Amino acid sequence: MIWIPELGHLALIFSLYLSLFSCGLALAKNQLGLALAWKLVRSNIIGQAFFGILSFGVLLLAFAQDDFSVAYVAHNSTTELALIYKLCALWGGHEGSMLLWYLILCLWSLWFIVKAKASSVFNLNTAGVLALLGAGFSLFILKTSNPFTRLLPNIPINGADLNPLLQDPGFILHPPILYLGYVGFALPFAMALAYLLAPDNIQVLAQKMQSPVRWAWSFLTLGITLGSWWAYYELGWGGWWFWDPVENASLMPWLGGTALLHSVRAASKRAQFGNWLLFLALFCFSMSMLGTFLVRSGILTSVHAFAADPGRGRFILIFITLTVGAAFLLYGLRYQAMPWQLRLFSKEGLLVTLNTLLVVCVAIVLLGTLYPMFADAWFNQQLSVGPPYFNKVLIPIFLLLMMLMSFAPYIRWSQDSWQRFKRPLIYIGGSSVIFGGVSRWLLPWQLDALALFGLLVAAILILVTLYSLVKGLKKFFYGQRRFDTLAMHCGHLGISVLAVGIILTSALSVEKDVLLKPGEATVINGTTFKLEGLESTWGPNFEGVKANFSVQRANKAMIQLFPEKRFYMPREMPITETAIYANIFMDYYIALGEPVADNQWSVKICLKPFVRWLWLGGLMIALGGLIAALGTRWPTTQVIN
Amino acid sequence: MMLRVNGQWGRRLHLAIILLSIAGLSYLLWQGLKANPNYQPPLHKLKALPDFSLPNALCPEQLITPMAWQGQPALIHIWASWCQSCIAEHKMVQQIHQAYDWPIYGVVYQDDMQMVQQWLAHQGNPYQSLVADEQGSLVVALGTLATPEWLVLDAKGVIHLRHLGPLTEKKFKQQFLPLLQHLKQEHL
Amino acid sequence: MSSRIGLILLLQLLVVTAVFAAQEIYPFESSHQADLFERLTKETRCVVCQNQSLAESNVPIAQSIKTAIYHKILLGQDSATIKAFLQAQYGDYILYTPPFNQATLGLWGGPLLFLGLAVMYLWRARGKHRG
Repeated sequence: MIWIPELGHLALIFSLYLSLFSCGLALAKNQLGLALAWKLVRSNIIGQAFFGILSFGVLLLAFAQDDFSVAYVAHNSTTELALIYKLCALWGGHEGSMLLWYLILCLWSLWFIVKAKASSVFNLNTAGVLALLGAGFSLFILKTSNPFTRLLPNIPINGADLNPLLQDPGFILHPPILYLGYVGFALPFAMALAYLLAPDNIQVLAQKMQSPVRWAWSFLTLGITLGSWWAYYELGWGGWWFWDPVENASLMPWLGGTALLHSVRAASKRAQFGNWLLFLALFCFSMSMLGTFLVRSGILTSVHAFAADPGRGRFILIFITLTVGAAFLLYGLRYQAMPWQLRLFSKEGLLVTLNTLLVVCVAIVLLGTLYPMFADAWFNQQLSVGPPYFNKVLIPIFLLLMMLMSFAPYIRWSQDSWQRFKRPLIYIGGSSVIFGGVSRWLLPWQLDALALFGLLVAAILILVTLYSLVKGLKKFFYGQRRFDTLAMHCGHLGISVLAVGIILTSALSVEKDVLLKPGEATVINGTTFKLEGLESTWGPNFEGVKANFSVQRANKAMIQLFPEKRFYMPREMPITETAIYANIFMDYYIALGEPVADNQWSVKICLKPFVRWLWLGGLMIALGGLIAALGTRWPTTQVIN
Repeated sequence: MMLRVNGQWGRRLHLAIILLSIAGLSYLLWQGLKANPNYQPPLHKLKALPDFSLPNALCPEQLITPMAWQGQPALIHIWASWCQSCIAEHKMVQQIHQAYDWPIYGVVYQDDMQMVQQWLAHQGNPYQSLVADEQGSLVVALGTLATPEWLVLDAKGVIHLRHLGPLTEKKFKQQFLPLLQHLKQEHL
Repeated sequence: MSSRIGLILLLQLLVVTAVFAAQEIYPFESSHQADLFERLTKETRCVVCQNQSLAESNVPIAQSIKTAIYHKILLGQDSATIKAFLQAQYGDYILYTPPFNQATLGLWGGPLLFLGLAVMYLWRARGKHRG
């Protein structure tokens, strides 16, 4: 029926109205009385979420039914597409992914009102801020990025197809999980503002924030890890992180989120962390919104960026400036300095150092991302700020943080003495010197000094964390359920595994571009790659060539790999499907390039050692966050200090 | 927090710094929205045509050098037969050739000469001179990014304008024609 | 007996050499030149791609630039000369690591400034009675 997409449009409008209404109710809480206001706001938010889900569902239906009268469906789908990708194509373009963003915001708001049962001023304020954010984003969608615009009366027979790069399992999971994290930081943001509007007990606020912060951060970690893994096998040149503006846009909230994650727990134990807590809660979601702006406004070019439109950019920029400006204005006005005797060599001191360094990292990433634009405007110079810059500048800070991580969990609150750490330090110092000296003979690889140092720091962290993790697990099974400690060690272990992966894969990866005919072979580091043959292949919306490679390693079984080069007809785009054989210590990676002559192809072959450690580490970090999230209770009673 | 001023005014100062940073960043981003984020190679004004010696695409034994392209203001078109946009703009190139007497010099990039010859025989050849740059040495020396690209040359072999991407009639009339006429005036 | 083994070994040798070797796209005589090529292509950027070095990219213009670099290395030019040539055509953009000049003062100085502020903040925060 031709009018069903209009239902989706209408549902979104209703959702907007309800969110505005919630906002008004929250403002009028004193006139209505808290109990009544809360009841009404809850029903409104349920209604807002209901209409948000309905709107999303209608668009999903339009994709499932190949309804090309909807312009967005026509631009992103085609009849030959597999069903799962037709549905996922919903978040393949700007308008649809913005609707997904809004849906997730509605779901987080719903989660909040289900968890928060009391009709308190705090709850009303939080719900009000969430509703205001919802109103802003739904207004943005309706005014500038409406997915329900129609192509009547000339409905196209077929659509323009989903970008072939996106027709992949990674696309099914990556955006939703990433957005769950990204948008999830809206809840701590709203809670922080609610607190600032009616200051109360900061430690209770911290306890309330623990659950959303941990869940959001875990999802964001998982989303970024998935994205890196997906880019690795999809893009065809063996890279896993490019310091691309869109990646940076997700990294900045993650770094801020890590600081927030630590501060939430610290603030629940020490009220003096309250200011950092409030600042970081506001900071994280501001970074999320800034990221959304950078990715969708066309201000920066990126392999991931959506189609540009300065009109959208102006809308979001004004919205963000007003929201973030108002939030920090409130923070500044209500700022209460806390009496605090801070010693740097204490848990508080290290946590403050962590927060400071992470904020510095975010500032550096933002500087690097925006600098080319600035240099072009101010100096009329075109610059490349990419991996060489970010790696040079951030690696020292990350190494420092890893070093701090190895003893931070064991340091005492308030004050600690160097004496306690003298012996372990001597042991570690001594063994490090020995390790450094014999590494040339101990390790099978040639590494430069920096890589060796990084590996050493990571190894120490692994050993220390594993020891604590095992101890913690033993205690766990004996009844002492310290979720937080277990989660911390899991997360830190994940970071060290990630670090080992990064160091080794960066130092030891080998790449070679060769021209091969069937029957020819090439040898890289003792492994022979032979192109056995080529054959044609085809699918619902593509045709191409499939190559058969045999990989012969020394003293090991032979591997067969089948990389493909596909040509997607609807969009006339060639895509390379890489073939990877992966185990925990080595990836064998083959990607077909271009056909050079009759039957001769240029092929990129990579040997990437320890690259799986990267994503394994990422998964462990996310797991740590999830353990912490599952072990958190929403405070139902006031906790007395 | 960190500056010497404490108390009320310290707080106000820190608030002012935060708000100014937000405002400053917003302003920078607002300005950034107006700019073109894509990379454009530096258009060095008055850059001379680089030295080259490439085969004539239609007659490979003959070599062409920059001398052949000097003497009057002209257009240089860098294209390839595998480039969709170039094929699409070929009609326009024919029109320019027929309507005006500016010579058009072509550089065929990374292409099969037989295909090019066949294609031009079929579609018509608007080029006064056509070189085959299979390795891309001239193209890189010119600082080209991709096909198609247009350059405006003056009588002495100095490049005055570079246009990335397919040429439209509007652009030609608005940018190229005035410049070509100006160069002709100067030359006379 | 030994002659039969010898024959088998000879046959194996022939079979192994019958596997045709791949053709290098940019063959070099000396490993020094090959290293130079690898370094240069990793330190320069593909000018039409998003965040890819020349080594990683296969688009036509990247291939042509790599060919130009290849020929220049064969002519014996060193890293600085080749980079200067590329900069003349494509600007500072082609250098993957931003150069140190007036325009990049903020870029390279910024992290130092941030770290400096952080250190100042931590120094002032320690052991102070606040309130």
